[in-house]
Amino acid sequence: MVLLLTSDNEMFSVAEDVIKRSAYIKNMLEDVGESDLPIPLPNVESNVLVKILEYCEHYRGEPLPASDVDPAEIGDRSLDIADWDQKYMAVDQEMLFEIILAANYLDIKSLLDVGCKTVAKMMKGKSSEEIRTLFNIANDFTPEEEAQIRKENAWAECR
Amino acid sequence: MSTPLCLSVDILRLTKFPIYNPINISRLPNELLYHIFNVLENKRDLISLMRTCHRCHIVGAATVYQSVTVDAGTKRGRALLRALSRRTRIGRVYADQVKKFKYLSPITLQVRPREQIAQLLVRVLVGLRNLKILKIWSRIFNDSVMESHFSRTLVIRRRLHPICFLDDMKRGFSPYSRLILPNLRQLDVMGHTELIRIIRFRQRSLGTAFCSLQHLEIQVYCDENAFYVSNGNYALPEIFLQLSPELKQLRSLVLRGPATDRFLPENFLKLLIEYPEAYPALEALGVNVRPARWACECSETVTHCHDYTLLEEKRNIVLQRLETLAYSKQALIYFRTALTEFRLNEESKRWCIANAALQCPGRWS
Repeated sequence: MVLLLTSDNEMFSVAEDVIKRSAYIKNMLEDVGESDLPIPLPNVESNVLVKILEYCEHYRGEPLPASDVDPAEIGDRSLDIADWDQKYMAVDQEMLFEIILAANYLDIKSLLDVGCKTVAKMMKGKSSEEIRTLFNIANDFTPEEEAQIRKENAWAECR
Repeated sequence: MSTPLCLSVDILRLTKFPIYNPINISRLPNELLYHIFNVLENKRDLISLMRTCHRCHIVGAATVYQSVTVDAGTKRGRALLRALSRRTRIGRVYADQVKKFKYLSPITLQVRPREQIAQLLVRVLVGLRNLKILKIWSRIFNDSVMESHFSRTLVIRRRLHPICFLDDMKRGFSPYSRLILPNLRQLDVMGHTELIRIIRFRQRSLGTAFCSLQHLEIQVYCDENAFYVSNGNYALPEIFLQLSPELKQLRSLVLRGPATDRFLPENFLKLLIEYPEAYPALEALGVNVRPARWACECSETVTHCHDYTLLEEKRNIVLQRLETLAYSKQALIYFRTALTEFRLNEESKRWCIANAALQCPGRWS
């Protein structure tokens, strides 16, 4: 078992084969070897870790995806998300955001990919203004810059 | 008289059931934004996102074109590169060499004036991972328009992928060559200032060194004579000195450059120079950072780092020594955790650990 200590000081005891989906933990365990010491996760709160562990538990036993493969490189630009993953990601935006950050921190590529796809799906078909509202993005373009960008991207719109 | 009641109900409803709680995407680091861009499948969605803010625009531009791959090792690939760099008719420019080129067809390119092509190419180059191709581009870009765009490319590349900076340098792209200098003026025109967090130095007599301080929102180029600030102004030294005490201190360290043969690996050096604010935390973890502080003064080591063979040899020696060191597991766990904060890749993290163990073995036993 591996001990994980969250940022809000909650201790979790997790089976090694479950948490090894996290490349970060996997590498840590390889370096440290057997140890009773908890691994601190200062960027992950307990409620988020619970969700992460739910994901890892679900995919327990399944082969780990090849590391360091960028979806862009293998041409995986599809927004298809497996049914279970869709249900898993049916959380409020705050939690979704936290899951993405935690997946990034813990280096769980498949979860990060699902999270990003979920966000991408939320953007689908929306205008810039709608995306700004949805994701709380401040428009820091000057009107001139906006016009310039519109001009630059015109070629993409007319095709 | 019913108004107060309605009002209170509304307030209650709003308080109890917040209907809208948007995530703050500004908290997402560039790499995650980049990832999201990568999975967007529709070019309209992508363009919409690019138009929301400066940061999305830059990251999006890098994403759109990063999927373009051209094989510079082939005759046809090189012909394509040359053809794209000229205003001349491109014709059917070997479309099979341009994989996944969804957003911009060669036919579109051929009718574009040179300046527009150059702007588009900047984005292609920013995303290109093959530095060999980048180097070929640098040769092709031998006129002022292309040259200036190429310079911008290097600047953007380093901003988006800081780790590319040293890679570029190792492969012979001196980012502070004369090529870059006049074009720092363009950064404001590009509207990218919110991303500028890197402070760089160059001191010609001591080789090349650079420093990054995340908390400073300005970019500085420095040589013996003057400082150049990223907002497009050529800054006088006194303006530079107003920036921050840390910067002043680093400047003096870089310029002083004491002679030493102490070797430090590039990533560790980068880490230390980038995050001097981490020293107290590392010290608290039992890591002796005194050698690290010396590293800041040791611009000569950066020059050493350009020699990759040397780097490899040193790395192996250090790793071998690490195996013989009995270090505290707890210290190792916490040190690794701290390193994760710096977003280094796994290899770099191990390298830093190895180096820390080498520099201060007593602390790890």
